[in-house]
Amino acid sequence: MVKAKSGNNRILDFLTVSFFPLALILLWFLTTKFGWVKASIVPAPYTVKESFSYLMEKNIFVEDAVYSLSRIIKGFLLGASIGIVLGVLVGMIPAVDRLTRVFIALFRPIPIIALIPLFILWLGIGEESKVMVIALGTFWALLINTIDGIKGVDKKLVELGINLGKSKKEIVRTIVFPAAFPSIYTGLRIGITSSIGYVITAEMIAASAGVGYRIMYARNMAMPGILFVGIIEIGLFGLVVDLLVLKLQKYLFRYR
Amino acid sequence: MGTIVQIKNVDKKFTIDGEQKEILNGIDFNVQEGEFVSIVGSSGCGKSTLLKIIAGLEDATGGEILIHGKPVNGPAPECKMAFQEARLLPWRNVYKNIGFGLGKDVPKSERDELIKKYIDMVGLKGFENALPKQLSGGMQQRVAIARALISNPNILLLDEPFGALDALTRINMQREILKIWKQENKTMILVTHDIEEAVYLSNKVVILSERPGRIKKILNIDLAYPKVRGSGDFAYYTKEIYKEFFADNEQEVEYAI
Repeated sequence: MVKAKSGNNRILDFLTVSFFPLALILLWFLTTKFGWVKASIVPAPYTVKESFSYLMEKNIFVEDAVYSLSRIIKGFLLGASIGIVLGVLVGMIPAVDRLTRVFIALFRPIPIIALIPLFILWLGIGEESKVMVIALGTFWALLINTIDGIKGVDKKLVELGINLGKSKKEIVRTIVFPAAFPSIYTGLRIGITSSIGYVITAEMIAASAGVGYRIMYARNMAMPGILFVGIIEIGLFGLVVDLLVLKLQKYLFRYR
Repeated sequence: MGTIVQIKNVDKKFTIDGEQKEILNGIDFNVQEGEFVSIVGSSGCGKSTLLKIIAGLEDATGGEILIHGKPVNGPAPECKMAFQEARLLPWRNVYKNIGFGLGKDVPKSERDELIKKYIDMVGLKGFENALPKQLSGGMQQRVAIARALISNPNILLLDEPFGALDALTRINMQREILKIWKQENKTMILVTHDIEEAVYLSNKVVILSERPGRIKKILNIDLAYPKVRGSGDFAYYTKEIYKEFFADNEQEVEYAI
């Protein structure tokens, strides 16, 4: 058990954790203040703040976030559910495992990003193509981790279930699935984190809203302030997702 | 009291790397209802495999097992097992791990009472909400034994469940298991490599040879319970079993668990 931290330690912890972020902001401030780099390359914090106010005023900031987020959620749910179901089947049924082995080995190494043009060709530049990109990325993460989790279930626990007279269905529900769940959760974590990358990339290639679109737009319009707001927005979003995922993980697996 | 388990000429072969290995050979003995039988043998003699065959978790290559006169085909519901490792579900607390031993057919109204009864029996009152990781090895084994007993099986199979415990805890667990045996009137079959444990607990000891396991000797222990470990009669039986394993039978029996 961790000992309760004294007040002094907490302050020290905070300082060490935030040292680099604070130093970076300070450096940023100084470089722009003294004109070490051109404002068209690195905009001043003030410019970024102005861009942010502008985006907030026009409600673009929130709207972009909502667009990107809803794409992530749709794609994530679609990809994760198919990935888990197929992963369970592959992990549990040797015939399905053999049937899909070559398929998985062949298609998994293809970077999702490389498929974006193909999805646009097939599904158009509407929502479907972007959602599919995220769904596919999440699908692979879940498929692989679910298979690993199911195959890694302790055979001794399954034997215990048999001895206790449990049916196959009960064994899957009460032993196999909970035992595989940490691995499945890892897949969910990888899926949600990489989804952020996929949505931004897809939006940069073809979209009319969303954080990725905004970044590309800002570059085309030579508005580095807005470009920076977009990048910071992604960073903060990633940070929040990561924190939530870790908190949930701690809660779910407190038995370990 | 009649015969409850008949082990009839059981053989077991495993194929390892394309090579057939004989594990058990011509195992043949009966277990009476309410009897406490120990199977003793050195490691790798197939004694755990024999227990799994009795439980229907493994198939015999030859021969058969009869329980109440009926051949065992697949998992035998009369036999519940306590394994070498406690095999608790780490995500369930003590209460739910013990409840896991109950079948779906047990109505909700009875579950709680039963679980509490068995928590009490294995002396874990107050630990209902503890997770397996918070328990000592001995406590984990108690949970496993309660889980095996809660469905009220006729036969309890014990696969060296105390093997990994320290000497003091082990003696304690042996006492507990005897108490349960008497209270619940179960038939118990224990696999162990601990000679003293076998003499202390059982009415009958089946001694297996090294691989492939064959029956060397079946020894009835005619001692009244509770047995006194230091007594001369007790030493006589341990020596009898000891002789089966070591050629230097002149040597004084001088070992401890």
